[in-house]
Amino acid sequence: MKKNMLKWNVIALVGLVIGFSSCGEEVSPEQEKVVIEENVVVEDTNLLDMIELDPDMAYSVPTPNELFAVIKESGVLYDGSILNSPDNREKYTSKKIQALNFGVYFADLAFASNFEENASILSYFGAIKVLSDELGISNALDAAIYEKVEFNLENDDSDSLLFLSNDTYFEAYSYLEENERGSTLALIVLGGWIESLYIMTNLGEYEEGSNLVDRIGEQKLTVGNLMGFMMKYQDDSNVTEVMEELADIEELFWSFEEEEGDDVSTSQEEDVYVLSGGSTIMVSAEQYEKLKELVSELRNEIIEGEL
Amino acid sequence: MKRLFTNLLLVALVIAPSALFSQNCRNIVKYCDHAKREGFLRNGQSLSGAFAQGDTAEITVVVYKNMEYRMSLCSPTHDELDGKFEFKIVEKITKPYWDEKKVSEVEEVAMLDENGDDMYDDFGDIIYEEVATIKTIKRRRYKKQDVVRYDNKKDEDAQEFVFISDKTRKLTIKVYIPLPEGGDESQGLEAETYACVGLLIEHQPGPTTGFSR
Repeated sequence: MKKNMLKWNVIALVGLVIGFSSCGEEVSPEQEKVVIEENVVVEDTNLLDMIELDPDMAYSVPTPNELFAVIKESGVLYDGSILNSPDNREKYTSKKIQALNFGVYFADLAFASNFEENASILSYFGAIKVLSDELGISNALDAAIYEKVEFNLENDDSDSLLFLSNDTYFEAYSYLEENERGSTLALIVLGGWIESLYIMTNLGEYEEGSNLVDRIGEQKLTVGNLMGFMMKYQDDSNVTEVMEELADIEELFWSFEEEEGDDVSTSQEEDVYVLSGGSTIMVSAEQYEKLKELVSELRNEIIEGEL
Repeated sequence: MKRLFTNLLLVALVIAPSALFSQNCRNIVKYCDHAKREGFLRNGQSLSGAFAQGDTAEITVVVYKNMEYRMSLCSPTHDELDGKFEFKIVEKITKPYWDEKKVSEVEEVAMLDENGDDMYDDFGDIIYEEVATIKTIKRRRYKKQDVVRYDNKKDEDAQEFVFISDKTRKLTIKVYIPLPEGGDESQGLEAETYACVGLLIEHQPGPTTGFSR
């Protein structure tokens, strides 16, 4: 109740000031007989400009591999039970669903590869292979990929497996670009991002300021690039449909506040530059739970083939 | 009709080279020198494309906290450009500021005498005076400001940039594609030549504690 009162007071104050600024006029000293000076300070009204997407700019989206390399450093543990079962691949009949789940399986593969869960890797490569055939992009993948994966699994060579999963993503990505199938690529990228977000939000409970929650909040930066990337292909109705499905998640991310930090600076240590300072994205427990719910909903529609 | 045909031909002549070139430039980044041996993985945000020489290409990427990145450029189709690229890394920083403005509001109020009672004129009407209230209105605003984080011209034209970041951030990479030898920007469209350029981004986990290596 107290909170509501405060809210209404702030609204009233903002309304009052807006009223003054629209009705008021610039000071003209000659008109004044009696002058009373008052100071009105309006609190931070969070009028930060929303994202401006530049149609001439190229927007890139970090891959699941890169994201899980970061997540691994956060100290969270692997949980294979939350991933999409490779057996589900048979459910995917439309090209849209196949492309989205191609991205989902890539994210699952990236998660398993980064956490060196070798037992799951082959089955995810298998699911990706099946979907690549369905999508007509199997030419992009190394024909000897299975032999390489099996060889590295036998030799317990996790580094090589990580390189293989990274390269496989690249080859598929490049093939789609070369063959002007950007809309399929957009669906794959979106599927991979949603699955990555789903995995992250299911790896732990909300804990303010924890590494995991911070990494999730930072996806606010990625969602802008993701939308910028997908915008190029929105003439395709499949892309537009999934962009619509993503809208609630995007809007929630925009509600995450940014807390001012230290001034930005660039320094150099040996041959490496260090970028420091800037704002930090904050996530509340309520926002975290809402995000978890929205992401689960969309992800489940994707893996159930219902989108 | 003839004029339309001529116009279409002109458009085709201008557009076709870039379109054809752009096809051949796909995935050109895989020919750039990589740093796999140093543990770097090719990053999915790398870029390949056909760019008009003399133009500036821009790409926005997201870099993660505590990851180490290496950015480099190459042009396998135009070896002569290697070593001559100019690039800047720019970050849009949100700067808060107070937007302050004074406004006045004028209203008529009854004049009061020494005893605080309303004053009247000879006709028995209340005498009014104009009172101007000046209010200082402060509003917290934010503006986006471009901050150059790195400029290779200030680093002896270095062609690679290796860095780590203490926060996840969005960066814009602006790459200037040099003109051919003896080229002149004033020559216009007909003189445009295209080069296949790859912006290779690589990553690996950075140092786990602090930033020392």
